[in-house]
Amino acid sequence: MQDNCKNIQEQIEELVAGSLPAERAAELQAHIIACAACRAYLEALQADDKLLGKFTEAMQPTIARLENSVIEAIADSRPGAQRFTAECAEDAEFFNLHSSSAASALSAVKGESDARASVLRTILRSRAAKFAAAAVVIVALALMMHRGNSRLDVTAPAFAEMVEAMGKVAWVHTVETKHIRDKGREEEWVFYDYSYRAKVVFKKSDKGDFSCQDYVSCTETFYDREADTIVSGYRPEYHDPWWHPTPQSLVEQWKKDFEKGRTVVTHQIGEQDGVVADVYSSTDYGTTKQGSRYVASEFILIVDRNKHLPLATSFKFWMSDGTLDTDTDTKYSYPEKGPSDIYELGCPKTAKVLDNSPTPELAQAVAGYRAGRESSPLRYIAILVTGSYNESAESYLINSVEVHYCDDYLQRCDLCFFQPITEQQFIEKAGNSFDSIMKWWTSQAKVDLRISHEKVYLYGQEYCCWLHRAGGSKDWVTLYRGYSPGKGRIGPRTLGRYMVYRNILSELGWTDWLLKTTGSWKVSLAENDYATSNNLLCIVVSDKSSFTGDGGASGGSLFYLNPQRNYICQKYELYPRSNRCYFREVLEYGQTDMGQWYPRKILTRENRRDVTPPERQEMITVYLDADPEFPEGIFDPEKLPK
Amino acid sequence: MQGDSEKDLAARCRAGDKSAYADLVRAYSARVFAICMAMLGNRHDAEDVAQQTLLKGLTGINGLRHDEQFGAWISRIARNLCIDFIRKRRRKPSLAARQADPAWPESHDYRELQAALAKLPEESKLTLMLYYFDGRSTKNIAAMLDISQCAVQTRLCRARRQLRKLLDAQ
Repeated sequence: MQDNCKNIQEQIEELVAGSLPAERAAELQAHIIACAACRAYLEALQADDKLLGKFTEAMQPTIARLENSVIEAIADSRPGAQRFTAECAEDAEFFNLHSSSAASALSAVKGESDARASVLRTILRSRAAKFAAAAVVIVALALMMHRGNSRLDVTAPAFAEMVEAMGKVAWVHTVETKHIRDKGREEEWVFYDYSYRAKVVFKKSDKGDFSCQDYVSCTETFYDREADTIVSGYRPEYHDPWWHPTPQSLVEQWKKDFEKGRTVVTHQIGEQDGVVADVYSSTDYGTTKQGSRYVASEFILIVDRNKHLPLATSFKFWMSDGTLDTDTDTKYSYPEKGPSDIYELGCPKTAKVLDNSPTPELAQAVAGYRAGRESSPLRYIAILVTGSYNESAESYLINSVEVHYCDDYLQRCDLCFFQPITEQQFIEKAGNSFDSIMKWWTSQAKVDLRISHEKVYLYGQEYCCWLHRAGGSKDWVTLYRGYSPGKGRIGPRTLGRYMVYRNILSELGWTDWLLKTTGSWKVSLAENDYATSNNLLCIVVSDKSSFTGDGGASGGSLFYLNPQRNYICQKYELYPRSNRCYFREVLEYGQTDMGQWYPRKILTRENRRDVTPPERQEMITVYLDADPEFPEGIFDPEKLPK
Repeated sequence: MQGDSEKDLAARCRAGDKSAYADLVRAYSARVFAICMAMLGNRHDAEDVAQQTLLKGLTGINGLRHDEQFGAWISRIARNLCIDFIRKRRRKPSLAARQADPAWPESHDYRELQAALAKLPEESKLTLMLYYFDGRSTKNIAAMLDISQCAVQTRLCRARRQLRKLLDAQ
């Protein structure tokens, strides 16, 4: 009997791990009920499992911080694919990371001491957000007033005035001086549109760098000092609200941050370059952000008292070891006109010119694509039924169902993988319409299918959860749970990690690859048989090789946009430099009652270029309800399955 | 359909697409951290080395021969950097490791657990970390460590027992 129990205890491990087949799990449960020793063993294991689970959960902020710091560093590494792939990015210092060893070294050199707040630092890093950040501080200061922590009499209208004043200016000119890390002096001219999106950005540094990003004509121009060449290339606007926060989004964030902080605010009337100004100074002693290494920050904002426009800002951040990590002063001005080209900034006129800038036709096509993507449905329930091609069956065998609930920023995906069944079998069980599949999904699916595993992803502004359950297991395992009700601060970036798309329809119909392509690639409109016969616009993205898209070379992609269907990318073909290729093609379109197009049937293929048929081929069918009534509590993290 | 595959992302990344590397970071940061934690035993050092690893992955992505093996490749970098770090630490103890960590939960259980984990053999620790931190299946861990799934289950089982013993002894 003891031997038997020893064997069983080994299987109890699997039971706890959720990897035991349902039948065996039931047998085991029966034994456990009858056997005190095995029951005790199971309870001890479950207790350990729970403790380890909690321990893992306690580590999640560290992992999230690690992830964010690296992603921020990648984003900050700016500029162009050449530098991105080049060897120049050798270590953390290049990325301006907060590695403790780097900071200690810096401290030894500078002999300075102080601390900073990571939130401020993040905001500071994003130069596009600098202007907005200045505005936001007013709100933060106003909030402090209500908390009774300050002598100031600043109220919300002060912020409103500032937003209004900012809305009236066309160009914002900033001169930024970084006193640490020898970053030198940088100047920037930004032309904003009504919604605070940058339309044109000129930059100049005292090291002799010049650049211009024109999001209207999808062009980036920069001066390559080493090659003494001005390079123009394709760069479409890629507006991610998280990477480039608008003043509105920052206001919300900062409200929350400041509510949590221990901020002391002062206000004085002063003068800046002969202009009477309000001088606001905010010092945040410590942050409540768990694990933050930045213990204090000082932010000074100087605002024109009459025109309500920021004139200057100063940021300082101190680390926990006393090191002053950031010390940056910025001056603002608001010229009527900005530069018209980089020559006006002082770029050498003798420099060679390499012009790969997009034609107006290409810019127009990309603008249509972007507009189509932005107008894709935002509130819906989409069921994705995926089948993998099975050679012996010569058909697609369905092996997963995903139900995506999307209410703008609230996202949930319930995902289930199961033993493959034929399409016919699937239709017999679930029907072939949104309503029938949904009804089957909620009532019968778990009985009908031999489930291998299930997942639930949930994302909202203040939470991000990821659950997993192996087939046959009763209990869900929390793989990640970030939940901070009322505190905010779980950014959309966390979303990507758990493979929940911000908007699955947008991703399936308008892949962001085309919008993320940058200037070092050649982008052009092309004609070929597929495009012509289907009335599509074909965009070829190629690297510096002789990629033509005819199957003869690697290093590029083809995007076929359908102007008749809101510029949905009907097909894309990707030929990376490796010996592989990837295809995705929309075979069928659907249309909502509001007239929005969406991809209804999508074929994906992936294979080595010298092998046919494809190694992997999937067919995704989308069933959509674009005017849904969401099940009660579907976005509520408290109501997730236990 | 589950988003971009590893090889897809690695291919895009090598082609210069920064956002693809960000997606790889999201997918692999937990695994890299788990490895570093298992090898270094303290959160500060693990975080720093994991950070270095992920950045080194970016700068060295052109050295990745098989796109589909990004996970194995980045894990190898993490291990190598941990070994380097341990060598250096032997010469000069880490300041961070000796500093109190205000962010760490004050729970007695966690302290005990961390102490017990530190005492586990590396092999057991790594398996446990990957299983819990990275949420990997035993099958997945088996592929990653190049051992059989059965061996992973045995290691997990052994690790849990060792951990239980250590916790009971405390």
